[in-house]
Amino acid sequence: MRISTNTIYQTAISKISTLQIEQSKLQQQIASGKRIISPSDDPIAASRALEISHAQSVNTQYEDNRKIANTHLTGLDISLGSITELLTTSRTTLVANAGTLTANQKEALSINLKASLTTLLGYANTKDAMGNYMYAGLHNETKPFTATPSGATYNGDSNLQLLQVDGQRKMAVNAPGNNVFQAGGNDVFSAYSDLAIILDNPASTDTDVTNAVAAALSSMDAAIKTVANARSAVGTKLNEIDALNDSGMSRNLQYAQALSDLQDLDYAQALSDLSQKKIILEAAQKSFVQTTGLSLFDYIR
Amino acid sequence: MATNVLNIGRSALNAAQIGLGVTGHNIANASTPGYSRQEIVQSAALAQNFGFGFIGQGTEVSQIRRNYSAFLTQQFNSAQSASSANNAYATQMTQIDNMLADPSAGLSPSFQQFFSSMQALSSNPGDGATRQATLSSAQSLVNRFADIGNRLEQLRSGVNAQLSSLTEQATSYATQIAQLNDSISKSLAVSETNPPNDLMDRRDFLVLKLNELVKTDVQKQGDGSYNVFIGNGIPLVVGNKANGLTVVGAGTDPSRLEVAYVSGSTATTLGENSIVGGEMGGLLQFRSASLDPIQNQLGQIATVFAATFNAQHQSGYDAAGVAGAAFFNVPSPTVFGHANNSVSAALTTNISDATALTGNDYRIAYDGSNYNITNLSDNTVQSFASLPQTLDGLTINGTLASGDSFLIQPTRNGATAISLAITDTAKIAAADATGGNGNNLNALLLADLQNQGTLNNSSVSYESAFAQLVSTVGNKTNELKVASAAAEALLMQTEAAQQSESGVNLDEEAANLLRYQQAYQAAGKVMQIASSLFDTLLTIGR
Repeated sequence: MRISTNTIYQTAISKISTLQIEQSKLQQQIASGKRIISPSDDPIAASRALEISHAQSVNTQYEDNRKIANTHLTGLDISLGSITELLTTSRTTLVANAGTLTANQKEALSINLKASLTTLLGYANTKDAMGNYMYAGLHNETKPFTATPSGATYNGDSNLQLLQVDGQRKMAVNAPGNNVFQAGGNDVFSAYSDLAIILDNPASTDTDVTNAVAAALSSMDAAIKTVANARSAVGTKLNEIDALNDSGMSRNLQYAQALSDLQDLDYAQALSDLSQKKIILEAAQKSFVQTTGLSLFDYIR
Repeated sequence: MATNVLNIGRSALNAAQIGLGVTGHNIANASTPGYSRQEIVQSAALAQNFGFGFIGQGTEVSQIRRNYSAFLTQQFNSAQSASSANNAYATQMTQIDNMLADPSAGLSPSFQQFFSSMQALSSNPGDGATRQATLSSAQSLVNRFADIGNRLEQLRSGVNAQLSSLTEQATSYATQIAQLNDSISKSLAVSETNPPNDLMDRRDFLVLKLNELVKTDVQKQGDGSYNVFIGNGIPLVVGNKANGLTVVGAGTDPSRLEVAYVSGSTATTLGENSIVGGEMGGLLQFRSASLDPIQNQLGQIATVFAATFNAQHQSGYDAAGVAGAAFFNVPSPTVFGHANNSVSAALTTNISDATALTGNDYRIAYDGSNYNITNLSDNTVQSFASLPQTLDGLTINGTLASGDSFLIQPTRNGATAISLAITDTAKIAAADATGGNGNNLNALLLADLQNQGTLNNSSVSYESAFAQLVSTVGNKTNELKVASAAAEALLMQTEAAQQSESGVNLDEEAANLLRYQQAYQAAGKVMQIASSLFDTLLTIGR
């Protein structure tokens, strides 16, 4: 077999060029820290990585949603706490005023009740951090309660605002006011105003007053129970969010790990490959120079 | 007697001189592409019978021949056309591969950002800033679609431009081969034993260059000329006459250039199956086997996304309590009528069910009694007696005369045609019919679409469909890189084999130089002795 001078040059050059391409690829990988520079490097891993990063992004979205849900529910919890406190104070006042009352006592109680009603209406018309009414249902741009002589009317709706807090979980993060303050036909605003009307009426008999206080007391008890239930539901949801946060975080770690396994470069391996390539390239260059340096023409004098 | 010796010496001197010349020619052309090394064919001259025996009459050079193997050259040619085809295909695919590789340039981040903004909208549906962010991320998703779509479109026009210059080049090679055929056959007619080696090398080299462009078959004729064919026996060169190649717009789609064969003044379009191998073959294969389906699939994602998102958006209510309008402008199918259609021919195609779209192209042809709709991805035909018909999510209606045909590309332009239909943030339909500033019920359903099967009969989500596309591109590119490397290795092997027969080895030529130099010196010595013999005779008479 003969070999032509062209072939000697071409073979050496093509080998050196292949080595340089491999070296440059390794350098790209080392510089980016990624094993996959383009999808063709590992098509299955590349498309798998897209699916995982999708899952990761969705997971992060739910995490964001949970933060928002948490803000809503914490606000609700605080507000329901204040309402319970107000109702409990009013209840104590009513208990203290059971029995026959003097005119002065009636007037004082009436003033107290009217002040509490105003405060309660204020609580019921609370806005959240975004400036939306907390107890208005989905019509949270309208003030939910307006005062009337007989208590208050509800202008909101009874719809729940749901947030997607996890793949399969939509959580209600509001409490429509009619379900908190006017649940089951027991209107707490009326309880205050009805009693105040009786107290303010000079024609009311002692029996009328005693009965009215008793009625207000039972209405107050029922309202305290409703609010407590609502608050406990909020507490349960806050706990659930904590639990979802934990599982979301562990999922996030798992996704990050999977992505790293798919895409990231094994540096030790890459650096060792690089130095190996360097040695081979040097050897190829040296042997090329040496073989092509040999020529019979050098010996013709 | 001495005269005879002198003549023998002269013939040896002559042969050595020719040998030195040929060696010098080899050295001079050691790196000339396509050059085959030449050598002298030397034989003893006819001896003369003197009665007592035959006395040799010296040497003669009967021929200068090139070391050439038709078989090895043919192998080299065919390896060259296979390697060029692979390279051309791989070069184009690598561009798509690299484009999708960039994590900031792919569709996935834009989709994720868009649906994040839908989630944010569902948490705070009444907030103007959140609504604005939703519109902005929708706009950037649309831009991303258009960006990828435009880059694919650039590759398509690049294929057109390349085909046009490659056909010009092929025509020029064919013309040169025909001219060389003429010169070579004339030379051989004068003396069959003395071939015009260098002209033949040049012609073989042109055939090799032609094989870089398209695979050819060469038939050597009795007069030494080559007939060159492409495809299924389409004659590009016959004797001293060359035909040409050019590009013409496809009958159904004038923007799609196809290779045509020019004979005289008529150009005949060659089917993509006729052009195999070489850069042309590789480019045509890239366009039909990769670019078309990739562009269609990307368009399918855009079209299905726009249509399904719109459907959900339109079932909601906007900030003013008005039923939702279209959120995106849904890309519509592209329809091309064939150049030879009757004047009244018309076809309309609408998307009736986006989720049933396939990403395939179709051809509809009327034969006088039936409308035959061919799915161009697998060439399956469905026949219908009347129009309109619904097929793969499309409603097809129109008026066709017998012989008319149309090409339907349902999603080809999807990625570049999708656009935002609303600009007013209040028009985002986040609520259901009950309304309210905090009403997010439709926003929740819109956000849900991200994880739902929507494409291919509601089996694949938008992002999964894109991941599948990336995987297809990656696999194909990978396959082409491997095939390219194999074809390259085969090319190197066949070239080395061909070169081992025909290539110049400078050390060998150096040895030949020495050999012919010494032969020349020895021949000179013979003549010197013959001359001194003659002198001896002359001194006798003195």
